[in-house]
Amino acid sequence: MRAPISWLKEFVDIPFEDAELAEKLIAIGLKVEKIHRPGDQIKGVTVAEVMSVEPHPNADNLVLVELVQRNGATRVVCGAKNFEKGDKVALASPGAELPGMPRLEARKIRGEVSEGMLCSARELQIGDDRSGILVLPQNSVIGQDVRETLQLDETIFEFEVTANRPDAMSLIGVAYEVAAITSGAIRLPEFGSVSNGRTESTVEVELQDTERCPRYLALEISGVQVGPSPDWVQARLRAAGIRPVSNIVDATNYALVVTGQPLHAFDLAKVRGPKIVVRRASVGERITTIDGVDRALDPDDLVIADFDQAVAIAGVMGGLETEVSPETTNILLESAYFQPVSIFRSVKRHGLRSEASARFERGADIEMIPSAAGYAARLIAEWTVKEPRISNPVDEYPAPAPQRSVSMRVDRANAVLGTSLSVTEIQAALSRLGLEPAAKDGEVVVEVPSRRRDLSEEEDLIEELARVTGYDNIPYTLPPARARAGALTRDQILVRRIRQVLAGGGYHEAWTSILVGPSDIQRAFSNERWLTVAPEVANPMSNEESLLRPSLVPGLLRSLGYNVARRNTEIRLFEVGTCFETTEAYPHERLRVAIVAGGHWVQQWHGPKRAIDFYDLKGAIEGMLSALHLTARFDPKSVDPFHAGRSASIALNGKVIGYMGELDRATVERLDLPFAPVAAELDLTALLRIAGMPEPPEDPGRYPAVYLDIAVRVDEGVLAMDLISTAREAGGNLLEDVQLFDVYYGEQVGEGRKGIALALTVRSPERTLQEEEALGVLKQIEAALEKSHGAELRT
Amino acid sequence: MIVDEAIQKLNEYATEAAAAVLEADDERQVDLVRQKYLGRKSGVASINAGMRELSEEDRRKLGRVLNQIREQISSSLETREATLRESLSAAAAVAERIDVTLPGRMPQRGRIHPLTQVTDEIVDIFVGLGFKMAEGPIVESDWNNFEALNTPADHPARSMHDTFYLKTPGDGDPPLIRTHTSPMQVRIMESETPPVFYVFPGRVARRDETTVNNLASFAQIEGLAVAHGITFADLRGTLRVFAREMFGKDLLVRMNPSYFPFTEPSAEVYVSCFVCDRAGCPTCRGEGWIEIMGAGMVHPNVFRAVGYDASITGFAFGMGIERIAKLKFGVPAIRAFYENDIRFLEAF
Repeated sequence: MRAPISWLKEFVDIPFEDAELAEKLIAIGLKVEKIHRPGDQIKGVTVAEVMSVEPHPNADNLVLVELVQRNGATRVVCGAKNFEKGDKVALASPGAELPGMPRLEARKIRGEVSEGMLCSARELQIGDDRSGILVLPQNSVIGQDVRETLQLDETIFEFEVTANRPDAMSLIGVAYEVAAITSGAIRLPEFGSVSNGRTESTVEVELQDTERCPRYLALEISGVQVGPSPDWVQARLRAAGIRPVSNIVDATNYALVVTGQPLHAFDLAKVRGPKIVVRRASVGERITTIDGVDRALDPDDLVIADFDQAVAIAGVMGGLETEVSPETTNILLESAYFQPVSIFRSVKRHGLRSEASARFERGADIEMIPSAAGYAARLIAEWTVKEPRISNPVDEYPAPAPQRSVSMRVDRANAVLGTSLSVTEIQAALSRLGLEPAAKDGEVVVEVPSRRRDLSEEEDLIEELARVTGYDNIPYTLPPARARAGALTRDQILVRRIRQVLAGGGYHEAWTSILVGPSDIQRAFSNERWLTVAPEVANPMSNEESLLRPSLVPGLLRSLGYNVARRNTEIRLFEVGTCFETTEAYPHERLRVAIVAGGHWVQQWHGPKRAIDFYDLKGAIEGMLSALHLTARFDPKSVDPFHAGRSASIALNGKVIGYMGELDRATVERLDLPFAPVAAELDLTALLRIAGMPEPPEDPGRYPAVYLDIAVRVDEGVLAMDLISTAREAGGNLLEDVQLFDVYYGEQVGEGRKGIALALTVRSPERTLQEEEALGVLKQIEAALEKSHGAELRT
Repeated sequence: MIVDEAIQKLNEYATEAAAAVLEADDERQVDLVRQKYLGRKSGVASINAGMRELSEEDRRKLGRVLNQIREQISSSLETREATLRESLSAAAAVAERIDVTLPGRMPQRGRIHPLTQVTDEIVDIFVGLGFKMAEGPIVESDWNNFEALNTPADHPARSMHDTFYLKTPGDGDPPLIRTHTSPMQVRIMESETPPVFYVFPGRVARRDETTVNNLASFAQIEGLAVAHGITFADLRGTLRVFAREMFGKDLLVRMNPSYFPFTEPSAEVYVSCFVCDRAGCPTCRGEGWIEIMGAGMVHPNVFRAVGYDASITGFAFGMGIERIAKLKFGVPAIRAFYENDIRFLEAF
């Protein structure tokens, strides 16, 4: 909604500067989104008088124009010839600025110097006419800035009107808000009467759906001559954001801007019957709308039809066939009310918004219908050359809307707002909105004017009271302290801890979209299962965002690829987030944590450059789990999308809660990466359920431990995990800890074999161990390793 | 005279010892000198042993000198030892010097994502004000996302929330991706009795054209306080405490009327620009004020929908996490938060 301030001032006094007015309107609830000053873009254009027009010596289609301007004579080369000696024109001199054009300079055109140019209406953005230059009124003053001559120094407020404020979609509505601020009065325009027509209407109106169209008024205006509307009207409409079309259409739009009531003019000659039927569209019915688009109508669309077919989508857009054309002489003016829901659905269905639909969708003022029609009819009469005949209206309004009243309990209002306003104060506040509040038994009762049909319940009045009072005049208090503690739950604390531990280990937390595309999933996984698991959006904006993510890995791999493309060489990312899995009804939502890493650790002076590998990732996971007092079991497991020999399942208490590994070659190729990243994903929901509590040891061992090492050779395929668990079992109670501290391959251990070194901690909780006892434990372990794994002792 | 001879000898020892001490170059040599002149087999020791045969008077005379000489030698030994220790560490300071300006062995440190940091900060402020935190499902029902929030089908406010629906095999209202975190208001009130004081952070999605500052998938945080006696003034006070904790102690908070179907009165909440203090700058787009959230008093129809007594009062508010983070950290475009460029993440 655009409101030119000079136009607004016709309806209410405005004792403020623009900026102050904007601020006050915002505070009362009319959001001024932008303040436009179109004249600001025009500089250095002044009125000049044509002294002579001579042919250009070198070009047939150009003329040389001698002019008198503020400081003497000048000469320009011009392409138009629609003017003569004595005309006043708009001269843009060298240095002038016009919207969308470079700063003007004097230049030679076909050998003749042009000191500037003469402007068309289009160049000044006051019209679309570019066929000739703009000839100004004879009484224009030579040397005057055209902004003044043409009243281009207009300020226009662009409002963002919320869905609940149909009343603010008109200048009169905005004027009421201004009056509420200033406690001033409204000046309504002279609407003109519709009941004193000189002829009877020949049109029959039939309402087939009075729920969706409870009132329809038709007015016949005959003997019009279609042509342009006056310049000032066009300028106003343009300022209001509406394209001037013709005197007829402009009159309907002018009335719309002022009253908020959408009107439509049909070419009566093309309305068969002439009859107007307001009905639902029939199956298979089509219409070509004014924008030239052929549209299939839905049986839910409300249409305006003539004797046999739809001539408009009611309240949204008229049909091309019955559009007013230059040949039109008789018109049918429609002023009606259409139910918001009906309009809302048609707008959505056809993706078609208009000035009319924006108002009907919020709810127009049903009682404004005759006034708006009369207003437009009067304007048409004024703006056409011939005096047209206006008929009596056909006003179909079978069930006039009853007068409604809304009441507000004074106690409730104060309880909601935290104020202590008296009945009198409340009445005074509401009166400023043009309401007439009555007081009765601790209540304030308002007879709702038809222009404020949004006021339907107590809360609406409380809100009106609050905004007129001024939100910022309501105090700041805090809710009373109660016996309640703000606190995070255990799970919330643990999730935060997981993030901290992973970040502390060098991994950056990432956020990826919950929406992914099939290609993200197909690049990350070779198994089609992931595609079928992902819940599918029924109405995606693009294929790239058509699925809810079943896993965090595809999104993280996309981020990894983004980093690779940006030449980052050390990439370690993790994400904690919700993943989705399709079911019959609502998807399962699980919280997951995933890590993706690749590239090199930054090289430091004290060590070699090292690639980020499986064991880095495993250590990060072990560290994360230990922060939750958990130890997981990692078993070799071939899982998509990992390298079959470099992936593992991760289990807690015998239950697999995740997988990790290095991406296999095929995946690395699909992702077009220069290295094989490692990745892991764990079910955080399950993990939080198992997460342990700290278990401090009863006695941390007062007696000294004996530390012994074992070095064995085994087949390459023997798992470290198995060696350690055999050692643990064989070590008995005295074995406190086993740590693997070396793994080596090479000639001295032999082909297909590897050397493993274990460090044992042997301790008795009861006494200082003798060396023989500790060596006994060592021997048992050596024997068990030999027996179970064919370990060969290294000496 | 035996005593005189002895004294002369002692003086000779003292002179010799003094020279020997100065020649001792390390601790071991100092020990040898000590043994030689003060040890069991030293001249001093043998004179000491011979004193038994002397008269009382001679013994006293010789004893005095002997003690004096002994102290003299041992003190020069100690001095020498101290000198040697000092020069030793002085030598070590040179010989064992390291370059202390080499970079430390710093463990690689990752960062918590800025959107998490902001979420946590907001949550913590409200936890301090007595709120709890809860999270709920992202896929929601039409009831929780719209209907119970006073937004029935065909309500014009639905067009502000273009919605993603999910394909389902069954009939009925299809599940949708929540367009705001407000459905958590419904869930909490349906499961708990007042007073309820909660914040709800979480992911949401809207079917909108994607730009660098407008993504289909984004995050919000919602707040809800419902109890007898809660007022619009309490909303104002609570949000002012929040805004000042979040953005700066001295800033101003302004509320303008707005519209949300599930609150009435509804408000847009602005803070005075913490970059320019209302002078006008790019952060506030020259307006001096920055919009940070929407808020309002819970509409009685919401209370009715969740089965609360409609005479109760409460307030609710909601804000976009990305927007708050963008403002707080001065990030030019919201898309950067989802690109996860390591160099961007490392800045936080």
